[in-house]
Amino acid sequence: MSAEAVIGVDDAGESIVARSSFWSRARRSPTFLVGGSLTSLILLILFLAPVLARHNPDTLNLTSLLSGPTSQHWLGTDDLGRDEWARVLYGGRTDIEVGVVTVLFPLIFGVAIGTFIGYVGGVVDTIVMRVVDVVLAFPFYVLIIALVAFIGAGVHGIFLAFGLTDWVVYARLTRSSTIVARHQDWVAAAVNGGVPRWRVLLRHIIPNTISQSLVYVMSDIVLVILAVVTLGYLGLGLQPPSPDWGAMIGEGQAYIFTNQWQVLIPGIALLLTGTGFSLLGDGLADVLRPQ
Amino acid sequence: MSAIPVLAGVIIVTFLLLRLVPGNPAREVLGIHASPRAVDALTRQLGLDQPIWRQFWRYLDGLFHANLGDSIYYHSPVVSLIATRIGLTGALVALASAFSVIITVPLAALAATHQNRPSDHAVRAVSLFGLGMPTFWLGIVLGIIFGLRLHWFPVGGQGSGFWGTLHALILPALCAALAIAPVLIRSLRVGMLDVLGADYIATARAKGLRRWRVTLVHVVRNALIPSVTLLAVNIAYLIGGTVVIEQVFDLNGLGTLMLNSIGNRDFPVIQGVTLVYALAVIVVILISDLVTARLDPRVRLR
Amino acid sequence: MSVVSAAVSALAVEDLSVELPRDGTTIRPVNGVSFTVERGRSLAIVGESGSGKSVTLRAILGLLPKGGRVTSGHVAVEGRTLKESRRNLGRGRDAHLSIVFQDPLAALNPVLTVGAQIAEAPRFVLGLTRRAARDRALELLRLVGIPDPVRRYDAYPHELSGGLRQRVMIAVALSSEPKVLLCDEPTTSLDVTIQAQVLALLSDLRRDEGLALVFVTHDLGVAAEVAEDLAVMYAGRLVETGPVSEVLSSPKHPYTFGLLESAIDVDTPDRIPLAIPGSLPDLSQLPKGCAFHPRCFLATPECTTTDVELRSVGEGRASACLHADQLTIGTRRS
Repeated sequence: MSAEAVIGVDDAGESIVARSSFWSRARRSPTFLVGGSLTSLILLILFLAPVLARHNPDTLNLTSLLSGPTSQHWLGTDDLGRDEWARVLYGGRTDIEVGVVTVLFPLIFGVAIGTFIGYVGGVVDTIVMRVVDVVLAFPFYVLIIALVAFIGAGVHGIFLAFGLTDWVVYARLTRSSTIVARHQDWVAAAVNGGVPRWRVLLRHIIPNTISQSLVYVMSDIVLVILAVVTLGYLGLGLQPPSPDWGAMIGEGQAYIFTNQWQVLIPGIALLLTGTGFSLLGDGLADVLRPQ
Repeated sequence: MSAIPVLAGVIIVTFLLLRLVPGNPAREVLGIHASPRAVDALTRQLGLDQPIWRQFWRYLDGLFHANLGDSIYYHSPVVSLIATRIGLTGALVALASAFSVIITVPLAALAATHQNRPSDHAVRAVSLFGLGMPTFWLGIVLGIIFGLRLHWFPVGGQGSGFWGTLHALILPALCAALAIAPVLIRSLRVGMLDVLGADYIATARAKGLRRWRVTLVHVVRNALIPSVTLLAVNIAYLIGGTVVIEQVFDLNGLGTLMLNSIGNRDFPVIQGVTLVYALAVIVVILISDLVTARLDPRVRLR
Repeated sequence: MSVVSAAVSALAVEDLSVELPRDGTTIRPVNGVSFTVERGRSLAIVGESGSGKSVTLRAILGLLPKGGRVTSGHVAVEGRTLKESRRNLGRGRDAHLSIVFQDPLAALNPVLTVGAQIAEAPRFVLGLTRRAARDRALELLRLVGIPDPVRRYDAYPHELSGGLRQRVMIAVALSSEPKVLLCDEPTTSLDVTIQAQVLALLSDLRRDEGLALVFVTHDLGVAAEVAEDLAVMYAGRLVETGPVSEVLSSPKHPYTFGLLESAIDVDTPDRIPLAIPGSLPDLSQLPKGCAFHPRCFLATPECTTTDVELRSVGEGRASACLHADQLTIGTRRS
């Protein structure tokens, strides 16, 4: 991805063009840099969890329950004596992993179907858009909870629930940009020139319409992680013994009168992660914006 | 209007929810130790032995008579279960909506009119920060600060009497409002910036009108139009958020009913409550469409 | 400092410069622009998109986009200098300036009726009563040639056709009783026939009401039709000024010459238009010396070092070209 800018004319009368590449624009966007660094840092720490966690997240230490930070347990222990630091690290791994993987299907399916109906239009377009409207008529959490309630809790329930609902935004976004792109002169030129339609779609249209979805994917990851964590809190998400920030907060809620750390720590971790991804998404929007 | 196919779609989807259960729903409800006779009885009670179109007809028929079936756990009509709880949830949503308007509109206006100045950056930074915060955690934190530490509000429960309940709802409503504030502020700000930069504002200022008149009659009047739609969409999201908030603050509303019913495998209740929530959203969007039509002469039907 | 002269110009702009932040740097879309317009006369400012002509108008009115500011120069209307503060420039009870924008649909408030918008200035700036303001608005609607003004009073902008909307915008501009009317490409988005009507209207207004007109356009033909004086703008600077017929028949700047050569002339349809080589410079990286030299057929090494100013090259004519005297092409039919 690059943008050209004419910056002058040389002696032969030829235009001098400066091509600003993706990375040079990325370097100039503070949001992208901060978001990128924060997210990378968090991912790195979680990746190194086996090294950084000094205890196993499942080991019970019954001599030290609900303690605050100590030298043995950097962030203290929970109500069953498990090390908070380790649980935060491993919980983060699972939550983020599930979050990122879960958006893949909606992203791919949504973009595909959005491009298709945007390009083809007609009855198919109307029908799919009605389906989109129906999905959007349900409050987000209500639908997810209802789906998980019927399908069953746990990872596969989460995948199915989001697979059925999350694709709609991508479909809508892609559809609008495809419709705009479809009417551009350069597309008509390509089609008239004999380029087969599928190739026009793949090589010409999609690279232009996909940027909005890529930007949205970042905030969607945050949304999904938050939803996974919320489901965990409600007992409908990842099932024990997988450590999960939401479940940790849920378990800790009963003890807030004596020790608030168990509730606060995973929340702060989640906050940092969410901020990192959101900033990255904003930065990406800055960088991908047409000059 | 497009509300009708959406309504139809919502009804169909809610109906189909029950079919998502892997295996036999009746068996899911009663557990693996249930006797085949009990399972059969429940299957017949739920109408699951009928062909699917007859089941759907029965469902529709029930809807027309305001009958959402019977709760397996509570042994009473779903509708009555909903009726006793909908007041509390409704009050929560209303209060939360009011809070969100009070919080977000001034902040968005501040950010838009002081574009790129420190206050704009501050507002945007805070709302960015808030995007990563889970609602339920925010609720717990608010409860810790304002309930545990400051003793201003009860940490949970819904109080008694009108004022007691209102008092108990303040923290949950604030939590719900703050949950949608980041997104709402950002979108409102963009909408306002669009209006502020419009040529007709330049025309108005060029006329020599006083600043306050330009702001009130030209800026606000136009900024209201996209804002109403944005608020409606976010209130829809807020309605969904109350399910979790009721759990955090131990409020006996529709959300708690739904969540408890999940544990009880009480499918008819879950279906019924989901439908009610969706209907509420459709109503909110309809109202906002009507308001927008009043405000925007371009939208009105000739 | 106000400058009082014997015959006070309706509008006098002196050494106006504007800075705008863009993409991390600052650019100067308007750089030391000066011109005057007398009562009842009209000046056309001509240039391609990006030459800075629209920004000049907005700067005069104090309506620059966020972040833009006037860095030097001043504006005087009928001899009285307008303060550069955003509050005062061109507005208030002494608002003697009005502007007509290119897109009337964007320049009119979509939620107010046309009549309400025309009556607004008389009512709230000039202090007329509601009834008097309404009457004045109806009068203005008639003046700009809108048929059935009473019915149109209650119409909304989107309900009117493009031509009517533009007339409404002119009526709005006139409602504050300006001495100077600034027009930013008001006919560009209109059909040719409507264009002619609007231009005729503007000429009538200039004659009958004694308005001074400043007309920004990229179309030389339009400029020829509506203006008496012409100013050509390039990369934020004026490069040539003079009476319109003279400038168009014997230009004294290579850029003006290029514009004329690249325009299609209806009288000589077989002549192939010549495009000016190269393209507009990036305002954040202007060439040294004369900004036009990379595309100029008269350029010499001197042009790359000297900062050129407008200099008189004849009676009422000025050019910013070092080699203006070389441009004696003979009389061109305008």
